[in-house]
Amino acid sequence: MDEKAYINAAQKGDTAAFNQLVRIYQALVYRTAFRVLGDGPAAEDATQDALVSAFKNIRGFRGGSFKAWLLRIITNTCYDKLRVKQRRPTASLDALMLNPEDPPPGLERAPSISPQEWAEQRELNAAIQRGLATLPADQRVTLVLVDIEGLAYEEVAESTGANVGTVKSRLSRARAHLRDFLVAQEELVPSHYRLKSGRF
Amino acid sequence: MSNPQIERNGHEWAEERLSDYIDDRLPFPERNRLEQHLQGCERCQASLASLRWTVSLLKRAPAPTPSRSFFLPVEQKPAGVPLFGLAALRFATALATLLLVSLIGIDLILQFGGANATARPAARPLSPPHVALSQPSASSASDQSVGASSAATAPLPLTPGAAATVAPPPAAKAQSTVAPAGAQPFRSAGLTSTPTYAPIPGGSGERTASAKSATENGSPTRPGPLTLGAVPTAAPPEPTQTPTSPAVPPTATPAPATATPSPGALESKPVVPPPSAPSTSVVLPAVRIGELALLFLAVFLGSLTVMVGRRSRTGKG
Repeated sequence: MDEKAYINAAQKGDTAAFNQLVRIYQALVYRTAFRVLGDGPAAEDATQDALVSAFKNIRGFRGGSFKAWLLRIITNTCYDKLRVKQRRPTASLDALMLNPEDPPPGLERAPSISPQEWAEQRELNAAIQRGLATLPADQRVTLVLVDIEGLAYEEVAESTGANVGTVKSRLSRARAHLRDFLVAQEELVPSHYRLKSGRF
Repeated sequence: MSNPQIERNGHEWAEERLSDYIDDRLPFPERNRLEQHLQGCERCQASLASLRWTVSLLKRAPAPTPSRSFFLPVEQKPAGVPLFGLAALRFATALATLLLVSLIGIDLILQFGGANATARPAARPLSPPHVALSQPSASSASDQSVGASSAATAPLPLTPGAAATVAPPPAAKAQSTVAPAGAQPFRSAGLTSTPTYAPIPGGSGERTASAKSATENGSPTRPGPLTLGAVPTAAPPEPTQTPTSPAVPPTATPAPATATPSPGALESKPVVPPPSAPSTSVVLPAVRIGELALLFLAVFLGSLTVMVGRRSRTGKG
């Protein structure tokens, strides 16, 4: 069965077929939520909410890119959660109880990576997340979808409901802003990945 | 010597296009111009390098992995499916409630209206004379010959509405019996007896049947209140005239054979049983049982509807 067949079956109420779509896209949806929200448990909640919402509203899907449709749902869910977080700032108990040396929830060490590489990756991830947190939400989503997830401008435009010109503009500003942050806070970036290392 | 304003504008122009340039999204003329600017501008070259570094860092960022799967439980359904079931449940609840209300209405009618109807012959007040006199004309509407004869004797004008709704006076009932409404009148040449009247709540239909039988007998006598004297003294039938109480039609039906002791009539007159109208004592308990059953059904369906509605709203159903 291809994606279209799964979508058709899911529109008729076939949960198993929708779960096949979940299997295909859950990692993408979760990664996007993780980068936008910067918090593993919150990203899991957002992903679950978005997928349930997608299944409930799948009859409203009228063709086009299912990936873009799903990403639109998760970005809207993330916007909602960010708004709530802005209104009622909370501190995650998990984050308070975690050892700073431990990896943040959602980041697991791959068996093929050496401990040193894993440490560097964790540092890099922390620096990127800090930089992303300084961006406005719409720029953050655009940057994550283009530079981390590798989506085309057109797909991002469809996912965010903006036109391609707006996507270009948001991306340009987001990149410049993050670059300025990372250059200014370069000590946060592992030495191996620094600009002055001459590897870039 | 270069103009600083133009130079600054050149940097800004270049900076704005570096992002598109990295992604190879810059149109050809602009890309050409930007590359020419970059060749002679170290500041913009550094800016381009730092931007490429930022993008490469983002691409190297470790991919987070969820700690669990997000598969939906199999029993979950999209929005349309539970909504259909919910609509059906709501309809069933409304239907059960409607039936319950109807049954309660029937119950009330049987309890109060039915009691009045059965008590009417006994407790009926005296009818105004013109109403009683209008009865022959009411029968004339159904039978031309009787109407003609009755019109000759009826001195008072008629009120059709009243004639159609007024029950025959008991005095007439003592003399005439009639087949129940809807039953075929007995058509026999030997039927010579004066018709006797069995009081059945209903009114005009009875009189029409009575008029017909009278016409068939060849008797020009008016059915019902033939004598003016009978009208003001419309008293309840006495047991000697109608042996059974007119208030209970089913038990009154076998009586006419003894009420008119004409031997000829007894030979030919069939005993026509009235329609088996169930008495209120039989119907009421059945209605009450139905009410109780419908009440339970409506409460059950209503609770189910509320539960399903809540589940579908919270997305658990």
